[in-house]
Amino acid sequence: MKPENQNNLDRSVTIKRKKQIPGILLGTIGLAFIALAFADPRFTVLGGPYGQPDPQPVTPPVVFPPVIFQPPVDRPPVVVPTDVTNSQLVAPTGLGNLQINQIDPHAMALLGVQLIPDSQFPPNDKVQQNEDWITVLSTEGSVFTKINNYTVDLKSGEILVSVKSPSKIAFVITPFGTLAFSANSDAMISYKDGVLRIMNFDGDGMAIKAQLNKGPFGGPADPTVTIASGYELVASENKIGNKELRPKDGIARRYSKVLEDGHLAISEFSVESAMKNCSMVADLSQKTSGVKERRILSDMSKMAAVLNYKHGTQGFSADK
Amino acid sequence: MVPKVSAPISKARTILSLVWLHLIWLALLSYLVWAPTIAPYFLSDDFLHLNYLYRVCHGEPWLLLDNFKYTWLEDRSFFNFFRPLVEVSLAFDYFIGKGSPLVFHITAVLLHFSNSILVYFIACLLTKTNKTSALIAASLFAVAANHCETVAWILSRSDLLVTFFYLASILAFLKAETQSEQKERYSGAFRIVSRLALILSLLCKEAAISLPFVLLVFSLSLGTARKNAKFHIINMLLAAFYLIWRSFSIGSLYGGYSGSLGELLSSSLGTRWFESEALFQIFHPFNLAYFDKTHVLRLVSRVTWFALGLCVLINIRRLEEKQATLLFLLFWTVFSLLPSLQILGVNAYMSGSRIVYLSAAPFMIFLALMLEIKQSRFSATIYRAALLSLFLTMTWAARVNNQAWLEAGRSIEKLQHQLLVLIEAAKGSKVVVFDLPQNIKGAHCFAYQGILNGMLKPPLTASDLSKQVIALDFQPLFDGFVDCNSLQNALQQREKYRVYRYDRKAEKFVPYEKPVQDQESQEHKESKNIQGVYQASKDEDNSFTSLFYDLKGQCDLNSALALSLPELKVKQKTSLYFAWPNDPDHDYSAAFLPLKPEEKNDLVYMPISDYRNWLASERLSLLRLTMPKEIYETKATPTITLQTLSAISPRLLAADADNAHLNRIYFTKEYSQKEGSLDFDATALTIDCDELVLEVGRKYVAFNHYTRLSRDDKPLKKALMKVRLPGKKGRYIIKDSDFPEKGWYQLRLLPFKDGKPCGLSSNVVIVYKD
Repeated sequence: MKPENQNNLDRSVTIKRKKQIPGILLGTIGLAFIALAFADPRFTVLGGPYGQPDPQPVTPPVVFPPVIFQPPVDRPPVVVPTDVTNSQLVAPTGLGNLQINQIDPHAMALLGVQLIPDSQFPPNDKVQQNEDWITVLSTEGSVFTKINNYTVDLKSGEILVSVKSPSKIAFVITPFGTLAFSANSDAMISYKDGVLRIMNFDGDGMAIKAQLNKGPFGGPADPTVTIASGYELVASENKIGNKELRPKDGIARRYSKVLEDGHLAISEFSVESAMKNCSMVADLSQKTSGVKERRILSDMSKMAAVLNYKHGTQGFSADK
Repeated sequence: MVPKVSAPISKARTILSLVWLHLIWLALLSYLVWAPTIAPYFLSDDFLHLNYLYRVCHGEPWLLLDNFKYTWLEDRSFFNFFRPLVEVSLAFDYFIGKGSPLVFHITAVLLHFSNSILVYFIACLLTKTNKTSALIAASLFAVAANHCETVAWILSRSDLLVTFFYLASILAFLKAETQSEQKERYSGAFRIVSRLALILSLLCKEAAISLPFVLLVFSLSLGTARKNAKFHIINMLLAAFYLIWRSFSIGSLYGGYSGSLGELLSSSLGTRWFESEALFQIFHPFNLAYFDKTHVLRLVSRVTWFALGLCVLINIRRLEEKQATLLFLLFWTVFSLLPSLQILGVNAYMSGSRIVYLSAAPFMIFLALMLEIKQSRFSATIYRAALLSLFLTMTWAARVNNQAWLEAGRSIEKLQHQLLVLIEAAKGSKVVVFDLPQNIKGAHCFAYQGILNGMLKPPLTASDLSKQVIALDFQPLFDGFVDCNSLQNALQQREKYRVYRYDRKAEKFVPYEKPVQDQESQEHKESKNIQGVYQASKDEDNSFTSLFYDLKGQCDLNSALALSLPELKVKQKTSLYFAWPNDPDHDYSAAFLPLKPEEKNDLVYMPISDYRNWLASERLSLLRLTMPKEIYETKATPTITLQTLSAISPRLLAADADNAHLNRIYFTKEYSQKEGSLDFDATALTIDCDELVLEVGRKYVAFNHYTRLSRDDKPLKKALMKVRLPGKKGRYIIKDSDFPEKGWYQLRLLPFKDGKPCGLSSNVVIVYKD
């Protein structure tokens, strides 16, 4: 038989336990409230038959479409006007009025490149065209071969390609792929030390296309892109760094963006500064006699003016 | 000379005036927060009830009584409910407002206001002395942002009404229990009122079955259970009688959602609660469409709950003085949720939040009752501030969340008007529509065939126009699938059908005129490899990466994709996601294909043309394939081949007849035919199969509910009928007698090789029987 005080002790333990149960319950409530403060559920739009798709446990972020396909800022088509007082150009486009600190530099850089399906790259078949207005100039020491009147195979060095109407198209084969230049485009292409540069001096948004399918771009992930006027596409065997992005060539650049795989980059350059600092263009300006040269220079100058007007001149800087 | 008023009278007047002041405050709150909800048009299930109410008020009043002996609306389908009193209440509103949505909405706001008052009086009795706490509880209940669906959606009347009678019953019982000895004679009357309210609440919604238990627990907390034993026993007997009555009426003890939808809901409760954000959403009731994840109000809400939790923990020892009441309130909160267990689930857009309406009442009283605890000055100040913050946050969120219902109402009204114009313009042809809205920012629309039928019947139209419109979207659980074989069929018979797609962004129907190739040319189309053009970066935690494929504009309405995944090693359940860039504004990714760890298929098929986003795309140029780590780590880029649907899946077509069109066969009273013909064809299959099996699902079973895919290769575990078909092409006759009960049934073909399924099932044919 238990002593009386032992019975009282048992009773007090029982009472204590009874009190503990609600205490634990209420404590759980308090902890639950705190847990709610820090909870971070995945917003999986699940919750009964309410018309939402059934998600899987892990949901990939559907960031769509990728910026490279749809530039975030609507860009008006860049054309080479014969008359810079054209009413379409006089009307403010908005971009030129933006303050430099309001602009997302990556978004602005991405305006210069657009991924297109391979099917949109023109086939390098025999083209029926007047080839008189295809001009290829090169710097001393450049190694290239002219496969035909409209195709150049660039091994190394720097060339300037110009295609003017009525000529339709020209191709440049490079170690990283093929470039296509449609009518009314001027571009400088250089391939040195495993780095390919394509600078679009003058040509509308779809005029210069690059099908990069060799070297680091071989295989299924080979991009085909267009390069906008005033933009420079840099492709490299190695990861692109600041040295490749901003070489010390005196050409002013801004808004650079290294693209997904690190082997491709885009940046905007000042056509005006390129005309002054690029030796090939400077040589061109010395030759005042040729009709073709005059037309190339005239179109480049107009484009430089148009781009300055439309995009503004703030933020360009050159490394020397 | 003004007569002198005695002290007790003066005191009574003060209290009375204070109560009235409180009620005015609650009325003001209800008006400020919920007044916008009187504007929306009818939505989703509302349309199912309108024609019924029209018949009730136009010569068939006995239909209301039928609800007491059959299922709700006599609709023993997915919706196996017993809620007769709700229909009476709706009929009353219909009668008063002549079918105007305004009266339904005003009644909803008034009922919510009444419920807030009941919460106030219950809290008054539980707190005994402090009416301020009661007012806080009622105010929190009045403005809770979880209530938008309940107040703004007409068919949520069942939740409002059941809560009204539920609270009335508890209030009456509390009054009976708290009467002084002098007024003991009134106790009996209050108990009768309580029981009467219990009966009425049981006739409103199944959630009321918890009420007898809640009353019993309250008695237990007061220590009066023995005294009230008779009262509780009668209540339990009433509940048992109700269950028997309901079981006979609806033909099932459990009821609720049935068919595949019911199975899906019953089996996914854990997922819905613990793998989704349901619990989180109840306490942070912000509609994701209006409050993004970084919205400041979400942060305020987190701080509020943190403060409340901290105060509860700090004062946990002091809670003993109110322990019994607090535990009763917790029991009531949890127990009142249990009967609705099947459909519990609140998503990020606050869909489904009506379920917690009843439980919010005790929970708000619980929060306010904590004020009665003697706390330190610091703790009390924090707690009061947190409650004020909760009140303001809720008020703001409720006002904003209501917008979804306003938008959805406006959009559906516009849709209905456009449908009427299309019917008029079709001049006898049938109008075929697809890509209809199912949910607008969390507000239910469910614009499938049944709902469209309601839109096109009296009182909303002068005559029944429902037969003029055919909706091709899968129903009723929406996975973004469209019956693309029926769509092709309709497009090939342009003189008979006018096909429109609903542009959800522009909120208008647009003619759908994509060219359709004839079947022979489709079948002989060669499969083509699609080139991968570009690889995007991996996502933040390296779980997924994307590949882009150039479709070269070769896709059409009969396209399917075959993915070769030679080194696929999936360790856990994951998915392949497909999206395409010309359709960026849809709410969610365009399509996904689940991959299970145990399955090792080198070739995976994607019947992409079954996806409404695919059919809705204007241009099909680039395809984005997002894949999990397990695949991209193998460094084997998946090869995609473009194929025709008929190459990967057999075809099943309901031969056109008076009682059959667009893969729907009707064995209904309006048609005399008792047979339907099914044309099957698997000759174009590139997969080797030796037999075809026709699977007939059970009543109200939608195949896609089990797999969330439009076509799959899993045989049905429980089928109404499985028939081995002779050959790969031919005709099979189905009969009315093959289908035992009224309802709808889905049929499909599944190819087999050596007794095992060897490919994707066919499209679905639906049989309706009444």
